[in-house]
Amino acid sequence: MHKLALAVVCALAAWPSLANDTNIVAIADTCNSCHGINGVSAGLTMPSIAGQNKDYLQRVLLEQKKGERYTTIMDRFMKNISDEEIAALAEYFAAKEWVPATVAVEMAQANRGRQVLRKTCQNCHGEKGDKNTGDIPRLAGQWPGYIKLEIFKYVDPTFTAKRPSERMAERACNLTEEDMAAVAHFLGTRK
Amino acid sequence: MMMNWNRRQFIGALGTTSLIAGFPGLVLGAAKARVVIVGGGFGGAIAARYLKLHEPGIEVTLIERNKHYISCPFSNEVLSGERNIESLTFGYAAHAARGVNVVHDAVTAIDAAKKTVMTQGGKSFAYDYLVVSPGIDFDYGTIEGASPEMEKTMLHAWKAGEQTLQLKKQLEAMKNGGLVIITSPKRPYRCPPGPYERAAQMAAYFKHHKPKSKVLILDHGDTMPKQALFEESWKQLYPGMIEWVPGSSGGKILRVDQKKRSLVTDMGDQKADIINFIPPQRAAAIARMAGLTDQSGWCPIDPMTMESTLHKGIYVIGDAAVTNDIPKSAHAAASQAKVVVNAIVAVTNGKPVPKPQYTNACYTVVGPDYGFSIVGIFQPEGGKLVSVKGAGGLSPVGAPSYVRKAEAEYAYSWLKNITTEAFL
Ligand SMILES: Cc1cc2nc3c(=O)[nH]c(=O)nc-3n(C[C@H](O)[C@H](O)[C@H](O)COP(=O)(O)OP(=O)(O)OC[C@H]3O[C@@H](n4cnc5c(N)ncnc54)[C@H](O)[C@@H]3O)c2cc1C
Ligand code: HEC
Ligand code: HEC
Repeated sequence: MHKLALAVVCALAAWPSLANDTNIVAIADTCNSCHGINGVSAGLTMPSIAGQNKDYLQRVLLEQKKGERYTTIMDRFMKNISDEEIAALAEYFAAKEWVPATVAVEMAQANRGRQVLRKTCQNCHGEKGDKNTGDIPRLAGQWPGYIKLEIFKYVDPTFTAKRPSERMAERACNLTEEDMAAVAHFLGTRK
Repeated sequence: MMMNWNRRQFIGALGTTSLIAGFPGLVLGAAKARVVIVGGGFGGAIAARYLKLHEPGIEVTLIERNKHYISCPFSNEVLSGERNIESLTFGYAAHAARGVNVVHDAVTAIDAAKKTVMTQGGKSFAYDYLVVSPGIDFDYGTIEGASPEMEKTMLHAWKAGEQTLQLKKQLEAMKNGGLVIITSPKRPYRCPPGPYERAAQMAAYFKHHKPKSKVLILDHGDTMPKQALFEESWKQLYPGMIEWVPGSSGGKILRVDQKKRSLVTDMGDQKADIINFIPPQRAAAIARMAGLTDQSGWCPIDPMTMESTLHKGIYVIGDAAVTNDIPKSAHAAASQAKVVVNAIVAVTNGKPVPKPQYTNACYTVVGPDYGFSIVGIFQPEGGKLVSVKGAGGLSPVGAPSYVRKAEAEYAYSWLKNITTEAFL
């Protein structure tokens, strides 16, 4: 057996040392083909996860794993990841720098979006949409395509699964499609 | 043991000292390790990217024959006209900017004993670790009457590029009411759902431009991946336009008659306006020349590390490797690249090698706003790479439009992120 193979055997024997970061990096690397290198997405509809707060990431990943949270694909990935690894992954991505999306500003859209945010969202998400503590994830600088897909969950009649947040549902349900697009655009242009 | 090894012991043990003697300009210790990568496709390009990401002190040489890489993923959308091939074309400037030594040349030989790679251009490169990700070649020899010459009349378009564009032209030139045959080869082949996605993308084009036309899939096998999802989507989007013939019902190609431009199966002579013959496959030529393949035509590896079981110190990843339950996909090649990189980086830095993480995700887009996916999680078990039970799986059948649309959108983002990972 070659040296790498030997070394793997040793690592497995020493398992589970979860604080051991090489194992967490190895799992985190598998997320990147979808979420972008270090969790910074270049894809217009895929959420950046780098820099979201740890509590949010950990809760979401656990809910996905247990099937308590609707997702198109994440549950299928999380099933084989232990709760301890999830905690470590949440910490790993939370510690990465938030890199805002690159979205060209369209003034009319952005102004309308700013108003929607003030009126309907800022209580919970903060004046700039950048609140990022506890159960609230950062929206400022997130990809508008992703924000739209997320709010559609609250308004699209074909979306019949359980909504991620009942708190959110009360507010988002009444938005018009134009308002949704505008607020998503505005949030996406924030840094 | 390994975990306590320091870098000097490691380098000494690999005999690097003597190799470096042949490089007057190289001072021992200048590079933490030298990794040479053969093939700058998804596997090789992502290996280079992650080596520099996790350990910039490693010297990385990426040897790729072509100046540009054209992504096979989503090349079926070129056929429907949904995208152009430029959107799938990438270069290697980002690698060079990050300090990867990018060499555009063809590797002609590998000397595993001397740990050296030779190229057509007459150069040789010494390595501590060699990562080989050369992809596939076509294996016409396994079907009577078939040969590479038939590509002149029956395109494969299974390496995205010129043939993809030619096939697109053939579709455009075909009459309304014409017939296209796609052959799905013996497994394993690159991208198991690919032929069926291609049928859908061709039908997407016909639906708007030549609605009386049809696609016939002649399959070597009796099942297709994501079968229920494909069948459901074909019925919803392209009713009556796609017919699938499994191998045991006459889909299997027994013989090719190049003169008559026909395929012989148990159902007799099959002719069509366009034949898209996807040939059987095997590991790329360099893998065979280097003695990395076995009788199967593919490269056997140790599932713990992706190290060749035939030549030590050489790591074969991607389509060329024998990976058992893991399908041949770009996503899987990426995950294998990371397994190898994380092991090399750990050993180089005297850290324990992490548990290997093998995953696959394969998105399929069958038409506008209509996508679905399969996920696999794999682990070494009894010398093989085996699907982890209870993890992974398929998108649901009968899902509402929100889900299909969302998955199509996520599919495009996957493409953007994995090509960024590889080339940008
Ligand atoms: C139509 C189609 C659709 C697909 N869709 C998807 C999809 O949606 N998702 C997905 O995950 N996968 C998809 N795939 C599969 C994916 O393209 C392959 O699995 C992937 O490219 C494998 O990567 P690789 O590194 O093993 O090989 P490749 O990407 O083929 O790269 C090999 C590279 O090595 C170079 N090379 C070979 N020999 C030499 C040599 N001697 N010297 C120098 N360079 C050499 C080649 O030029 C090439 O650039 C699809 C494939 C097809 C055909
Ligand atoms: C095949 C692609 C894919 C892979 C691989 C993947 N994800 Fe995801 N992830 C998604 C998609 C798509 C979503 C959007 C929600 C959904 O599933 O519909 C998402 C959502 C998330 C979210 C919620 C983001 C938010 O702002 O609410 C988190 C957190 C997350 N993923 C973390 C991870 C981690 C950690 C990994 C690696 C262990 C990972 N993902 C691997 C596709 C992927
Ligand atoms: C009453 C509090 C509240 C209000 C008001 C509110 N939200 Fe939220 N929002 C939440 C909570 C809590 C979450 C996290 C829920 C979860 O996913 O578990 C959330 C999540 C989100 C997400 C998902 C982010 C991600 O990364 O997945 C988006 C997008 C979002 N909100 C947009 C909005 C917009 C736009 C508005 C205004 C139109 C709004 N919210 C108003 C509480 C609120």
